[in-house]
Amino acid sequence: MKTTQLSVISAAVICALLSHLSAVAGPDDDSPFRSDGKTRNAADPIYFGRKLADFPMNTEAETGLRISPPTGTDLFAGQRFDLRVETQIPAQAAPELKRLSVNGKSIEASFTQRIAKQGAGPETGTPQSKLLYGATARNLSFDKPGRYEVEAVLLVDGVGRRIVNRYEVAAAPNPNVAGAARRVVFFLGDGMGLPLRTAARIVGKGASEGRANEALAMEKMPAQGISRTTSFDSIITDSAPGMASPISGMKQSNNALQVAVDNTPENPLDNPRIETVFEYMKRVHGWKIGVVTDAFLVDATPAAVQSHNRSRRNYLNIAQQMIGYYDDKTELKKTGYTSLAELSQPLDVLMGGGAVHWMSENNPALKNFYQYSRGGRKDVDLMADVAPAKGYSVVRNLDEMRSAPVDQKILGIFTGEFRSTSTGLGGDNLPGTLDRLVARGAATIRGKGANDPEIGMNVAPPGGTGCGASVGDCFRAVPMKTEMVNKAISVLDALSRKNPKSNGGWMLMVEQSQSDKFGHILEHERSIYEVIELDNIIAATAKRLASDRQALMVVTADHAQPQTIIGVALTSALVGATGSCFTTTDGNYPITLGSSADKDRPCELQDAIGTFNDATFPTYEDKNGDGYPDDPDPSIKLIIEAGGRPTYSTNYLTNYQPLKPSGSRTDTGKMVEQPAVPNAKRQPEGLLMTGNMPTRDVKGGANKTSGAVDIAPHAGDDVQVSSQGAGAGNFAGYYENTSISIRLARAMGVDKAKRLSGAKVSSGSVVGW
Amino acid sequence: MFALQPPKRKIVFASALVWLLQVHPAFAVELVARVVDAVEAKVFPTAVVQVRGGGITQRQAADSFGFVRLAGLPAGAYLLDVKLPDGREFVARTVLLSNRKTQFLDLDYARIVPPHDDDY
Repeated sequence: MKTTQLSVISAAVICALLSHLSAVAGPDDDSPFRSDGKTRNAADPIYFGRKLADFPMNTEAETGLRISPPTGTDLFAGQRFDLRVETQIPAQAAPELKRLSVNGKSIEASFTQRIAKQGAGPETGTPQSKLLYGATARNLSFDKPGRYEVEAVLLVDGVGRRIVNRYEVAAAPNPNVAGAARRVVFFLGDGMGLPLRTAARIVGKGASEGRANEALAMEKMPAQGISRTTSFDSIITDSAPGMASPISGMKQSNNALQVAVDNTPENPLDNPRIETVFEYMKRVHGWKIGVVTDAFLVDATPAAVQSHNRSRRNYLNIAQQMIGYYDDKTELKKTGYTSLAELSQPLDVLMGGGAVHWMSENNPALKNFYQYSRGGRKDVDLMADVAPAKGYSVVRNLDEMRSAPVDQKILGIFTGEFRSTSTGLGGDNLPGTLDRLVARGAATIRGKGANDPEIGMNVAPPGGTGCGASVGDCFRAVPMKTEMVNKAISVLDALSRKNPKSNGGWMLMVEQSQSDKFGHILEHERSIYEVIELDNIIAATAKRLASDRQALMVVTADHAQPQTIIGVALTSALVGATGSCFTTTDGNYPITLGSSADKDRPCELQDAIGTFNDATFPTYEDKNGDGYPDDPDPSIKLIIEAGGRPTYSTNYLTNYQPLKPSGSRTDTGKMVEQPAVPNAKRQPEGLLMTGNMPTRDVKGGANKTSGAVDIAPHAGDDVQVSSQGAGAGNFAGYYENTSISIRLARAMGVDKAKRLSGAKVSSGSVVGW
Repeated sequence: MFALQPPKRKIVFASALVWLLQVHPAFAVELVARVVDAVEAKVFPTAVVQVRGGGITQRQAADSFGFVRLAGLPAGAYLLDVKLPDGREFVARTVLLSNRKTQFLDLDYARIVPPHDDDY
């Protein structure tokens, strides 16, 4: 055969192979849709042109052999992690560990002894099947910075299987070094993508002749960076790994809190864990740590600070971890979780919502004060019994918070958004910033205040008058976030000065949760108020810490929301055009056209939007000088839309109360979400925005998501990181979110001699056996 | 005597090679999947998994640890219909690559079904 012939054949074979690998099997593979024109074809290259997350981890191919922490985890010396070796695929006979080494030095004997000492069970993460291998040695660390290779070899069905993980380990933080940060506030704007920052500036600060009248406090910060938010197993992170990864350095799966995946899915508490920067600073340097949030306290973002659980929804368990309460008669057992108790550092300051996860179901205050009609713990009352016994002062409203001593740990749980006429936020979360301002008489919604029936505050609380005579009274008793943060700092300051080991060191995580939660239900105006509140807190904190040369503030987001600014509108035009568009009627879909007389102009609401040349500057005002616009619907208002959404209708006016965007129905006693149908109770005569989120389980289709998504999703966009104060320069750059952990460690002081120069192989080893 | 002209020979050769890669046991991929719910901390023995794609349909019940093994699958894209013991169903998807003899897939109900209202 001639060379040319060989070349032609080879080319044909390569082409065939390539088409074989990249295309898909099946007779109907050419079209992205099946013959019905609706169901997406399994073979659609949009979905299947690339490898999906079958093996999202560095694994050996035939056994799924893997090591935790995942390769590339951003660690620093001394930071605790669990070292786990496991297989994912059952063998024919029990696999055996043959070799485990670090930088070529065997640690197998230490590992084996440690596993024997821990014993089979949750401490070791022993799989139920003997045909799987899995063993976790707890709470180890690398003792020196540098490069490490961890190699494991297992004998599986007579064949040696090998896996290597690599880590670059940074120097441990040392706050005693000159210039190190010693007071650290980490602000997390949940879902706060760049468009929300921009919107907060336009709405909160205004502009003249094209220039912002003033920059946001977070924009004024001298160091700016950008971080990538993808989680371990998804380009769209949820808030669990979105917060967990930046403060521990380990990419984590959606739903996971400070743990890696493992082959014992039956136990979410035995997964290999990782220590957070917060936990490290408390354990090693005696710092005090705290969280302040407007979400329920055990929600993913605050929980990620020091809780460890594969399932973020394990709320009762997480509440116990937060105050360090382990008891075999409760959700969080003592037996089998000694290593967890050693790792997880209890919080000294906790403020947020969600009393239902903390109080006994038999505690009458759960209904009377917190307005929960059902729920509550069956095992223990953490709020009434455990927290006070552990030395926390427990506060429930603004007055109690103000009068609580600063030299005592504090647990503050406040009333949630319990209005029965409001949907989409729920009683676990504190009322939104705008709603709290309305309750305080500091804002109106198109002129309506707390006494107007549309607002739903001038009525008695449904569960009793424990929190106040009216809903408005109850909301007024919920502190604004600035007040909560102020108190939190005072407590952390006092506690850390009392403790010689702390030497004045503390870390506080402040979450603005509702910027995300309101984004989900497409209450964009409320999201903007949340970001304004966050910025006001940042400004107030910057002022308070201005003379402290060892203070550091970092502001970032766990992910973005798919919102963007599309223009402005005259509020009066929106009001006038409402009803001229479509009409959504309950249970009937599609809707009917409102002005069918003019075929070219069926929806006047569209004409109300000013964009390009017509996007003049909005007219928000802050006449009372409290730092917030007095009304979210001034004469000219900003218009935001979401790129990902369920079907809903909007006239772009602010709802008097938060309302979920899409419809639902009751089917044989069960609530069924209907993301393809707008909520008929919410702006039913607005512009119909058809959804692009999954609606129903499409059996037989290629729809990855099998259930309904009745909210706007998170976005996969990168997010901004802003910083100011001691070590702020470390946060400039463009990096994975896991790198934030190392940057925090650097800001908290690194001995020059220990700085990692290049990627040198470390002379250190694994310690903590 | 049956003889092919050179261009046809090339086509036959290439087609044969593609066929070989697709269906010959030596090139087939084994899919090992485990039916779990990582959020609810459950594995699902007796869950039924049906794999579909490339004209192939295989069905298997999970063992007592939630595993199914589906052997002899040509590389390519597949849908996996999963029926849990309690009757819930979901659809997952995967791509089998020809450069691996075995591939593992967590059929995690929590990953495939959107999160609870609170879990954002």
